[in-house]
Amino acid sequence: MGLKRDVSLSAGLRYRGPAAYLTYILHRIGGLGMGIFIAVHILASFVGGRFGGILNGIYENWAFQIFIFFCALFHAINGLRITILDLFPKLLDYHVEAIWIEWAVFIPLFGVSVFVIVSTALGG
Amino acid sequence: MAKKSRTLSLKERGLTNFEAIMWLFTRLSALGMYALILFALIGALVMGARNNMNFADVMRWAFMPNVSHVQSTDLQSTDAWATPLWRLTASALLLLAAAHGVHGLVVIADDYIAGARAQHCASVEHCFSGCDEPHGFVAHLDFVNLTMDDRRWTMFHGLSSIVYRR
Repeated sequence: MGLKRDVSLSAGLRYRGPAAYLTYILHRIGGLGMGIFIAVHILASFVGGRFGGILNGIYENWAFQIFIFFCALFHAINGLRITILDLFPKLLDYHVEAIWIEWAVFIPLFGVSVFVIVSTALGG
Repeated sequence: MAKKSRTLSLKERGLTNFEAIMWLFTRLSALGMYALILFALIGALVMGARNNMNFADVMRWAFMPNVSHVQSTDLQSTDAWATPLWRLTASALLLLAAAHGVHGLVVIADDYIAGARAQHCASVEHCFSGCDEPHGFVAHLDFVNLTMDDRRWTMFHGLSSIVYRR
């Protein structure tokens, strides 16, 4: 039977929702990204050899490090917001403000990290 | 009505079955990982990260305090970074992350392998009103999980049109 939706798939994809939607979908992408690629990284390190070396070579590439660091940092910061709001539900009244604080923490941290990763990669 | 269900205490949300316990575990394991990451971060600073490592390397170590993560830095010796304490910290972090992550994958899979169960959740009123009538697994999850972040219900259980109008 599959899924029963009241909206079409295209409407679902165009759905943007309030502020929480972007963080929701990025949280999911970040979680999946970490789940898949860190599992591969651990397995590759465990297996070792030429095959593991190739996989870890991709993982340790600076461009991939930016992606995986985005996943980890966003998931961590957004997860802390979810945890705080869920364990103290009265704060849900300020959930939009919480998301702004979250971006204010995430963007500088991630920006500095990307700058360092890129400048290290380019500068040797 | 929406406000009512959002401000329920954890106890009032009925933590009785496995999903509810895992809902709490997901939050608490997140806090646990934060504690371990902070511990690793402080440890790195105590062990001289400030002069020998860049910010990205410190973060790499903090997220997983494994000695291989600091081998490409300017540290003279990595002996202090490979002690049993750090192995234990890294193992605890890995264990927590694996449990947290596997359950997360199950939750995501559950969204896309919805089938008949999803159809129990007929209206947003039902979900927001605190589920007077239990409708099994899905109704319970709606009741427990419905925070501002759990948009998956609005996306995949026919609630989008109602959220749209708000």
